[in-house]
Amino acid sequence: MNKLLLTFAGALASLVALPAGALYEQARWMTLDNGMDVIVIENHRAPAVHARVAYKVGALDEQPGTYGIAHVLEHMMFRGAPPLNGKGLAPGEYDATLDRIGADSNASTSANLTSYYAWFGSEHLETFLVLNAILMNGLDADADQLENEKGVVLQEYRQRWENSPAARAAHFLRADLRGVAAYDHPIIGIKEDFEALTPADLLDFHQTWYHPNNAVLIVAGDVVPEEVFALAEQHFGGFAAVPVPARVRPDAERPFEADFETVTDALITQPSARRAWRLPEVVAETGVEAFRVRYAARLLSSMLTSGLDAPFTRYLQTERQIALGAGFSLVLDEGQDWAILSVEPVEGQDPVAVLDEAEDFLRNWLENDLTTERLERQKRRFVNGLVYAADSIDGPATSFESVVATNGDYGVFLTLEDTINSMTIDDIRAVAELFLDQASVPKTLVLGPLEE
Amino acid sequence: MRTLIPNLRRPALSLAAAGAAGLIAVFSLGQPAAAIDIQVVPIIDEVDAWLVEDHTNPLITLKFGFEGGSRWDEPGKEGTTSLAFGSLNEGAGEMNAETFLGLLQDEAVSMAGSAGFKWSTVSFQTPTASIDFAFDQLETMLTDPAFDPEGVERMRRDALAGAAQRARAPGAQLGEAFFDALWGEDDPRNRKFSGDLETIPAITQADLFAVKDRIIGRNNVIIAAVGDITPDELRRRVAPILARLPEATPPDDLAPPAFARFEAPVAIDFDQTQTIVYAVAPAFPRTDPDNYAARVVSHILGAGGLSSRLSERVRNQLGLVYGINSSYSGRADYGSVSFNFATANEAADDALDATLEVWRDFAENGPTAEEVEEAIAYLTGSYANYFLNSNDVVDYVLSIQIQDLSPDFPEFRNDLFRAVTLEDAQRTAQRLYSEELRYGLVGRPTAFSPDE
Repeated sequence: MNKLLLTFAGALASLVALPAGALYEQARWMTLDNGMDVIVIENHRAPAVHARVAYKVGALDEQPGTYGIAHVLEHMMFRGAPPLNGKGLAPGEYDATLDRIGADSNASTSANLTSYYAWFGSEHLETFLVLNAILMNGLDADADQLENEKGVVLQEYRQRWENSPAARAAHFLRADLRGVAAYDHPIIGIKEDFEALTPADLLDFHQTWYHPNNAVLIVAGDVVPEEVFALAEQHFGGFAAVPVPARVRPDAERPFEADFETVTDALITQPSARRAWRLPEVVAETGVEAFRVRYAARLLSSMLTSGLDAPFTRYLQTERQIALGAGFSLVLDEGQDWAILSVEPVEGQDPVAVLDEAEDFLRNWLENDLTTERLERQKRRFVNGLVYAADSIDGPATSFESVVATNGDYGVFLTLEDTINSMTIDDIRAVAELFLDQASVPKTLVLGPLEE
Repeated sequence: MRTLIPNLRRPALSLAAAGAAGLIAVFSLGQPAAAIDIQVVPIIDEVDAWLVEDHTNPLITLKFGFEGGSRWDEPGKEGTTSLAFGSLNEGAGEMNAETFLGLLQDEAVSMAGSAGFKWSTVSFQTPTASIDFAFDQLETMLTDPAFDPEGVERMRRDALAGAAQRARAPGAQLGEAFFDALWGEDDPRNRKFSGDLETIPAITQADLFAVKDRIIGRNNVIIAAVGDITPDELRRRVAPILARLPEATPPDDLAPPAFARFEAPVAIDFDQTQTIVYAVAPAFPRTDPDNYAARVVSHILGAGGLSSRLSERVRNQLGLVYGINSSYSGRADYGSVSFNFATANEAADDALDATLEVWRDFAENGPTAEEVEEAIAYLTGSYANYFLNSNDVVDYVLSIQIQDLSPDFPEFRNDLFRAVTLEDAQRTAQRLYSEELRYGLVGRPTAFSPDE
C-alpha cells in the first residue's frame, strides 16, 4: 500500500463515512416511551445486519479515583449477567451465543460513548437484542471474574498506552488543548484506579448510566424498520426510564501555553510533528448550526489537503518535496475547539523546519488563496462521492452513532447534500478566520525514533 | 431529555405483536444466509469476468487480478513491482499525475494498482453517472500509464520512508529474522517485496514500464465485478480494454518451502514491558481433503476470538493476555499453523506454558462434538458478513478464482463445512497440531522455555 493511495482513499473515506443520498429516505428513527432512541438504516445489498447498542457514557463521565471504570465495565459486561425474563448469561455466554449464529462482535469505549455491536445474518437480529437487553438489565460483577479481567485490561493498557509513546503524546496534547483537569486521564484509565475497582463500583456505574433513556439502538442492513421498532419495543420497552446525571463538558479551565516538546522513543518508527492551537468557542454546541460549522471546517480541510492537486499536498509533496503527507484539521465539538497542523517529513528532513514551512504556506493560503473555484470543486467532489456511503452496510450506522456522541440531531443527515451545496466562501472564510485571528499561542510536538 | 424529530410514529401494539410473531425464535440457528449469485460473463477468448449484478446502488466496482508479482523483482532491485503498481495511476496518456488523479477525484472515480507476491491487482470504482469517463480513463491507465517522474519520485520517497520504518520496527525485524531462519535467506518468499534503502533508489522508470509489460496482460488476467452493470455492458466496456493489452509472460512455479528446525527461539531484544510471542509449524496445503476440517478445528482452538480454547484459558481464566490468536493458513502447495500473543515480560513463560498445554491437549484429544457443531454454526452463519460492501465482494470473488474454485462455489460452500464430522475434526486436530513449533519473540522475557 502506498502513501498516495492512502491519501486518495482517505479522501474518499472521509466522504464515505457519511450516509448518502440514497440512504436519506431509508434512515428512520423513533423514541420508545422510556426514552430509548431506535435508528434503522435499511440496506438490502446482502442478507446481513450491523447492529449497535450505544450508551451515552464514556471516560469523560468518570469520577476521580475511578478512572478507567467505563472501559472495565465494558469488559465485565461479558463476564456474566443476572436473569432477565428467566434468561441470564454465564461468563462468556454472550460471545458464545453470538458465535453460534455466526456473528462477529465487539465492544468499545470512547470519551463519550460505550458501544456493543455485531455483524450477523439478518435472521438473527432478535438474538442480538435479547442479549443486549440482558446487559442493559445488569451484570454479575463477580469478584473473581473481575480480578481476572483486570489482568486482561492491564495487558491492553500495556499494548495501547504504556508501549505506545505516540498515543500517549497525542493524548497529552489533546488534554492540554481541552484544559480540564477531570479529563486529563486516558480512556483506558489510570492503572492504580482501575486495579482498585470493586464489584460494587461497577454495579453502581451500571446502575447510574445503563438505562434506556441513555441508550441508542442502531440497526443497519437487511431489515424492515417497522419490524425493528416492534422488536425494540418488545425487548427494551419494559425498562423504566431512570434519570442519569447531567453530562457536563466544561470549557477550558487552564490557559493554553506555548510549548515545545520532543518525544523520542525506540517504539516510534515514523518521525512526525504537529502543532496545535486552541480556538475560541463560537458556535452552538448542537443542532443544525453546529453541524454546518463543522462541515465548513471539514470542507476547508479537504480543500487544502484532499488529493494530489490540493494546495497543501501539491506544495509540500510535489514542489518542496519535504513531506510525505500533511494535514490541517479544525475540531469544533462540545468542549473541544482547536486546530491541529500535522506533517510527516520525508526521511532526513528536520520535522520542525517542515512544520514551520507548512504553517507559513497555510497562513498565506488561508489569507490570500481561498477561492470560490476551489470550494465549488470540493463541493462537487463531496456530493459525487456520496454514492459510496450507500455501498456499505455498517458505515452509516457508525456515522449516526457519531452524532449520538455529540448529542446532535439525526435530521442533519437528511439535509447533508443541501448543507454542502449551500456552503459559500463566506462560511469557509469564517472558519478560516477563527484560526487566523483568534487562535491561541501554539504548542508543538515532535515525535521521532531514537537516534542510533 | 433531549428531543428528537421522530420521522415515524411509535408503532401501535398490534404492529409490535405482528412483528414479533413473524420472527424466528430467539437462540435458534435460523436459516442459512443466501449466498451471492455469480454470473460468468465471457469478455474475450479465454477470459471471463465473474459478475455479481446488483442495481440497488448506482455504483460499479471491478477488480482485475494479474498473475505475476513481486517475486520477479531482480535481486538488487527489490521493490520494483511494488513501486510499479503503486505508481500505476501516476498519470496516464498525456496527463501528468496531478491532472489525472484530480480528474478522477472530480468524478469520484478511483483506480489504482497493488502488487502481490504472485498475483497483483488493479481496483476500479465508479458511480454509474461517470461510467463513460471512468472506463475511458481505465483503458488509458492500463494501456498507457505515464509513470510521471514527479509522481514516481513522490512514491519512491514514500517507499523509502516505509523501508526506514520497517528497519526500526522490532516486529518487522522479528518477521524478517524468523522467516530467514525458517525458509532460508535465499527463498524467494523472503525477498523484500517493498524494497529497502539500497534497492529502492536503484529502480528506474524503464523498470516500471517493464513490470507493466510483463504483468498487465490479456492472457493472465481474472476479473471480478459487482454492482450496477449488466453482463452485456460489462463485456462492451471491458473487452476493448483487454484487446489492447499485450501477452504477458507466464510465471514459473515455486517449489513449496522447507521448514527448518530451530535450535532456539528467534529473539529480538527490545526494551518494553511486554513480550510478543509468535510460533509457527508446517501444515498441509488447502488442497488437502481435510481443508474444511482444518478451518473448523482452527476456529475452535484459537481463530474463534474470545470463545476459543486459547482465549478461554489464557485470557479469560488466567488473565495473562489481552488477546491470543491461532490460525491455519492453507496455500495451494503448503500450509502452516501459528499462534501469537503479547504478555508481561515476567509472565511470558507462564503464558507460553498455558498456551502449549491447551495446544498439546487439543492435538491429542481433539475437539468435542459440541465444539464442532458450534464452530460449524459460526463458520456457516458468518458467511453473510463477507458481503457487507462492494470491495469485500470483489475481493472475495477474485479469491475464489485464484483458488480455482467454481463460480457456484458460494452455493455449496457452507455444505462443505456441514459435512465435517467429529471424526474428521479429531483426525485433523492431530494432524495439524502435532508438528514441532518454531518460536520467535520480541521483548525482554524473564524466562522463555518452550521445551520444558
